[in-house]
Amino acid sequence: MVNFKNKLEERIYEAARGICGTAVTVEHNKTIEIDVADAIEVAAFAGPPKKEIDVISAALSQNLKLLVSCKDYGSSKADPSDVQEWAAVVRTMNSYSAGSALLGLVVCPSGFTKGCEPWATTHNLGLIPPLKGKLLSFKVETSLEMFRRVLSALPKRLHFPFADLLSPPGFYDFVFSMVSDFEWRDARLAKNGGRYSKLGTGWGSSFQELVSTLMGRSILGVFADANCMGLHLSDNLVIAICSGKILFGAGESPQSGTPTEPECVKNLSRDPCSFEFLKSLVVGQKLRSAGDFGNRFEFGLSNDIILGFYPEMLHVVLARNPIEKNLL
Amino acid sequence: MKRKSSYHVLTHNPILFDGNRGRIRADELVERLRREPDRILADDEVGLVLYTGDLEVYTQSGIGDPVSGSPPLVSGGFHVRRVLQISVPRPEVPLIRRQVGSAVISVAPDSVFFVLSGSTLRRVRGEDLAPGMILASGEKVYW
Repeated sequence: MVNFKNKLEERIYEAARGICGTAVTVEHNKTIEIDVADAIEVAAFAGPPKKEIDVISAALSQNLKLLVSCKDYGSSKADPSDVQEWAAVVRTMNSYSAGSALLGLVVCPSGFTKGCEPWATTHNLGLIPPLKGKLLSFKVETSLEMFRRVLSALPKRLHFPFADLLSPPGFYDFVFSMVSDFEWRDARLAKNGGRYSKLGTGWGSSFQELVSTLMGRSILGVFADANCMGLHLSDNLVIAICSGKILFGAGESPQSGTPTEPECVKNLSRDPCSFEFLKSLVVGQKLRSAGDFGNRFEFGLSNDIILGFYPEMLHVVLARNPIEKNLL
Repeated sequence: MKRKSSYHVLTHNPILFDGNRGRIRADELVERLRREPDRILADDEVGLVLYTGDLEVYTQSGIGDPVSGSPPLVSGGFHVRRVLQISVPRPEVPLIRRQVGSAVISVAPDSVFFVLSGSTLRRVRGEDLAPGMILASGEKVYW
């Protein structure tokens, strides 16, 4: 039975177990002692240096271990003394490690004060979340995602020469490079409010990614049910608009019910038309442009048709002048 | 072209060269390398990270030596840095343009630069680079 000092430690522990399984073990409250204890400089009345810490032991052939410090300070940030403490632990353990190497990582979801950065780079400690020269706040869950990303990437990185990771600021830079782009992920989520997401993975996405993914694809079919309307596209791509959410990507369409025939209208005057008529205009055409207007989403097609998706309604307009002579 | 052993992590629109100074198209390189699973350090909602440190992949480093700031000895030459990783964030990161040394580069607002500040160095975000700043490599920021 493992006892945890706080909820953060427990979640970090579980995250590490979830990623590394048996390849990397996690030991909580382990008393680490230096491997070489016969040097005169480490002799003391209290015995050789030792420290009770949380240890993630990377069971790799290179005898590399990752020492993780979890700081759960609520809304307060970790300060340089927290980083200095961990630097001292890692440095001491490395000095007497009998050939194995140790890397240090400090996780403090509430962040770090600016003064922590030079200590972390100098002593080659990874910081989660990253210091980016700008006031940024990340959720606890985001810090855990960062930790998982670093821990997943590190064993892969060790398949290549990694001497650069062991000397400052190699590991600091590696951790930074793995977690710095969370700033853009979170900014995108804040901006879009989860409106765009990728089919299959459920990853949050954006209008820009939708455009770069779908433009130039041909429409193979139009579908609708009680919850969603959308298009089947070439290259096994799909776009579906479901209750204000826009899902796209490769894979199956998110149709959940019996196919229905949505209300269809044509021209700016919104004259009624049949679903079959609408499909005859758009199937086989390529997507040329896209626009998101909040309450409607529309595509410009290669035959100058504009196909608009409204809640529970599809709209087609021929975008040629003069409008009155180009009615559908 | 003078090669340096210093490493550099790229995040976007990099200008890349091979060991013979030939241009490498970044998008083609990414597509080729992503077919090698061992190189993929991460491929998730945040983006794609590929390891390139063992390949002959370099990026331009303005006119000055990345370490000493010295100009290249060959007229028209330039220095390069080896690329350790290529990160492709999802979605696209907004880019800003800056001239650093002789090179006009596209940088993400959160790109990290090392700038001389008196006798010390400090990190500066790409969006905070200002004309007149001198990078650690000796290269000047023009705009």
